[in-house]
Amino acid sequence: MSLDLTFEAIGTLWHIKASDPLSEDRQKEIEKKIKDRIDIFDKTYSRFRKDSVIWKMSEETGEYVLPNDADPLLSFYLDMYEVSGGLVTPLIGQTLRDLGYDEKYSLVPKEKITRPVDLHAAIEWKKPTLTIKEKVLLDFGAAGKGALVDIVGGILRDEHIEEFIVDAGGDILHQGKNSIRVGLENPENFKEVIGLAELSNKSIAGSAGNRRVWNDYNHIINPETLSSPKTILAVWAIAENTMLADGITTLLYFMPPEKIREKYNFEYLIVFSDRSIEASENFPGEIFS
Amino acid sequence: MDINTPNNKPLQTPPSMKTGKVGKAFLVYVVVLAGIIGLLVFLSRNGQDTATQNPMTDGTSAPIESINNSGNGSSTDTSGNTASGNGNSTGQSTYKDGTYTAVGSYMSPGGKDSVTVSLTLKNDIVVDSSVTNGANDSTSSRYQNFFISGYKQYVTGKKISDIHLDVVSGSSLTSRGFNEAVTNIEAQAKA
Repeated sequence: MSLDLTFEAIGTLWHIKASDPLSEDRQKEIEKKIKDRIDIFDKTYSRFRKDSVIWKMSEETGEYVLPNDADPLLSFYLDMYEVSGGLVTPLIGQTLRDLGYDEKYSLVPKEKITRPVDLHAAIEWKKPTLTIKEKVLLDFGAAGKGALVDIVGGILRDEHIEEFIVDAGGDILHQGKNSIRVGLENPENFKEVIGLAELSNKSIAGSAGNRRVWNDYNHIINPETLSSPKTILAVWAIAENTMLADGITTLLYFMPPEKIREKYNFEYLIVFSDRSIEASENFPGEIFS
Repeated sequence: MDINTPNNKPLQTPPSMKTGKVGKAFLVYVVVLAGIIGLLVFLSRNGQDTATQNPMTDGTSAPIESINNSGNGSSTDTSGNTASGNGNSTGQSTYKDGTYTAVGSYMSPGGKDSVTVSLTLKNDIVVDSSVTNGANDSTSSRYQNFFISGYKQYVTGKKISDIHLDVVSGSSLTSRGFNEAVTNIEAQAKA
């Protein structure tokens, strides 16, 4: 008997599986730890709930002490902001909200759409304190899910579990002797896969712009043009950890992969809107032909 | 792929004469057998190979993975469950005596692999077995060589049900709230 959990949290479906044998009590104990931690994450970073720390930041400036494991996420966001020349920014939260991607999913764009200000003018991160200098609605959609997958993986490791998969809506962390086969969903037909990735002790994240679609927008918005990138249908990235893989998928919408690779190590696969595919040379997998 | 082909080989090697490794795999395997159908398990590969005499198992049972791990001794080697574990051996035989072989792939949270399982039955009792790891070793290198630079490829979809996968990554797991909202908006738009 081992851990095999399926549940919905932070707006996505989770599958957590371990192959190490565990007693029922241990499974329950670990399940509780995981769910409690996810709850803390959600109450901290969700811009969709009014009781979250993020929400409060949009209403009150000041100093906010974040959970211990916030540093990788905050530092990564500051990095991505630099690498992308400001195109990937947590300040996109208010923009998304104005466009209708809000806590009520109203999906109706407002007349006036907020453009993100300079990140350093609005926030300052000094572990463990995030100083909010201007009232801003932060959004951690670009790498937050991946960061949480890593946190959950950390809980499993702390419990001395050696072989596991953590899958949060297709952002997947694998640890174990045997690699797993990850299907790469056809962005235009969800009953199909266009290839597969062989994942071994790494993470994969995927992003497709055509599911969360309203009007002319999807969940990725260019803060300069206030429009959604149209040249890419879907991307996948494989990296050392899930947060990185998750963030890379967003960066790939804005920058050429070789540019991102100057800063980060990862493998990628991009499906362009003409349905052509580009993959990095060592992408561990197969594209169907 | 040939599976489940009784060839009426006589009993040749009792389990006790097997090497330690195979013996352990045998024990583990019998535990699995006892737990699932009491006699035989045929693993499936890509959902296409089916055993003709037995209902197909789902191939996902966690203990099966221990076959693959039997070499390092970390598996669930529950002794006491030997060949007698396959139960109703009194009366007439349910299965034809002989050696049955199946090649299958299975998945576990730890990963995916394939195995060749060979069982010899006599009077519904497993009298011999062997488990061989499948030819999975070359896959990684094969995949890694797949991408040839300068080769432009276009999307070709294959049905998820036709491919053996552990998980799928994509955008389909959109939150319920969002999907409901889109439905509402569409309904409003039509009104």
